[in-house]
Amino acid sequence: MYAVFGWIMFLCIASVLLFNLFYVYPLKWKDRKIILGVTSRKEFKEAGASEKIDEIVGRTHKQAVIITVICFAISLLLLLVRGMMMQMFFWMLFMFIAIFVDMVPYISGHSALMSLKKSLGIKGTDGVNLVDLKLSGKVHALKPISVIIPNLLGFVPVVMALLLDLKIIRLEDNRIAGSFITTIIIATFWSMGVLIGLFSIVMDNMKNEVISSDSDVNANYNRAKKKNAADLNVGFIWINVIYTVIMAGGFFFRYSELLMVGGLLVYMLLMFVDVFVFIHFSKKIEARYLKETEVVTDDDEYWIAGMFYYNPKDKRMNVDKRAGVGVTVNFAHPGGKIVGLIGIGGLLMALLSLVWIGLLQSTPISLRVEDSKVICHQLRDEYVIPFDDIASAEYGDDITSHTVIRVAGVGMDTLLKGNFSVDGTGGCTLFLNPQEKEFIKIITKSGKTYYIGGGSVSETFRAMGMIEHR
Amino acid sequence: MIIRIDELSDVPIYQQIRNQIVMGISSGELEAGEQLPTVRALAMEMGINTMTVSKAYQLLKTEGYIMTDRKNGARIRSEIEKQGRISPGNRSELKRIVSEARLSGVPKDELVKLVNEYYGG
Repeated sequence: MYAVFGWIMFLCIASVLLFNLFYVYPLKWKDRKIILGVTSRKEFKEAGASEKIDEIVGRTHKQAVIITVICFAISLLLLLVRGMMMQMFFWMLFMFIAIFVDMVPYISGHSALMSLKKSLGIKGTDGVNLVDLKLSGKVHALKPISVIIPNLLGFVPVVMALLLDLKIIRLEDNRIAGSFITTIIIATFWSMGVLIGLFSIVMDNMKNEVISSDSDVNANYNRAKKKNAADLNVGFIWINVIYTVIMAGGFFFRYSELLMVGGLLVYMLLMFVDVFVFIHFSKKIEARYLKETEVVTDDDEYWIAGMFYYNPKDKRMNVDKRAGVGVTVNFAHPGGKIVGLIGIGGLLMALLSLVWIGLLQSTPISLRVEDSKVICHQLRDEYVIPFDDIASAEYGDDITSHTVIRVAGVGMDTLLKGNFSVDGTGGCTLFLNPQEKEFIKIITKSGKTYYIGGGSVSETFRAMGMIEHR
Repeated sequence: MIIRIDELSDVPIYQQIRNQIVMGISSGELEAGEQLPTVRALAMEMGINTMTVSKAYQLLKTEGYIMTDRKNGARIRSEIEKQGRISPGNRSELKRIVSEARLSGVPKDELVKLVNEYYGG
């Protein structure tokens, strides 16, 4: 299954790299409104400046090609890594590094272009806000119903899963009902659709861009852009709903991890297709209206490294992205600051979780019997079961023959630790290495169930002997 | 019609909105009876406080350029009261512009040409 995960990650990273190469690092800069995060001005196309821009754009594109090829080679090597957790660890680490390194030529190219702009004496349109009076509040392309219907459909499996977990409805051979894992996963996917729906409404209400003194041109341009964004988001929501329904079917009738991951692969492929259709039409719209663009809004100095928008004078929270497509936030806006803090927090959490996964992976678990107590220990976790609390203890020879689903805790190839559902029984505490297979099942007098094992079979066997002779 | 708001200008934003709508009516870009955007829509589009737009609309209404009602929102008046004279404020502003132009060496003909262009005909 980790191979499928590896391919999913490979596709993700390959798509991002290829997208950046052809969209963020274009060679034909003359038909772009923004070049490496800098507003294209008519002075750029004059002799002297044009050659210098050719050189900057060519150099950054070349650097991006080299980085893309190296990242592709590393990605292919990562496919050879064995084990789900090892794959996750290396792919996440690589993803952070690749995304950062891939933007280095952009930042350097942006800096070179800004210097050139300064040397040419080109100034921005600082503090000037253009608004087409006839367009205010009138240009929309999203029908709210197109967002509401799929999300309502997606809510049906969430309710079904909840009813199953609450055991209000029952299905034959469903061994995971009661663990709430189905409800959590399905509701998480469904909530993504809801979030995209809210985001699409925000995008549809974004300020209209003024490119011409003719209101009809402005209206058509903004309507085309909003329609393209609405199609992307509605497409996202439908793909999300379809996958939620398929996944729910799998959970309800036949749970298979391979089916889940395979489904996820198809889900991501469809998402990529949706994004590529959006990019294709974005480029088409920009090319179509390039000749009619007569008004230039140049707020380059508020774009840090051509990527992060910080403009205290601009009261808008959402603005069009410069590196890539879609929207970003104005980090000077209170809402933008919150989004920024969430982003930094998320990034730090992801990095810390990488360190934590590494520690969990490299620290062996231990199972010992001391002072008439069974003690399971790893890192900061310690489970202690006193002998006089043990109601029954039995030795199992293969944990992999049981249906084990994580509710809360660690679920790795070499470690199952925390709260799990085993064969449909929720609330079981696990502490074992599933690769060692053998385990001890302990039921306490208070009714708690433990599945525990040591770092090796002999450790588990020795502990069982001591429990039996308690 | 394009409204250009200069956030660095000494002229308050509500005054800039008011001035440009008046110029739009004068040039014919905004026709009699034409609907103006709602206060909320225009404030959202400009990224400014609704109070600022509301103040501009109030001023335009007081001066007789627009009419507002709950059902139809703000519209350009069909018949704008023609007082036939320049207000003291505008007279003083015109004097300032002409003085600055003379001091910077702009020929009188150039100014008259501009007045003709803006006045129309």
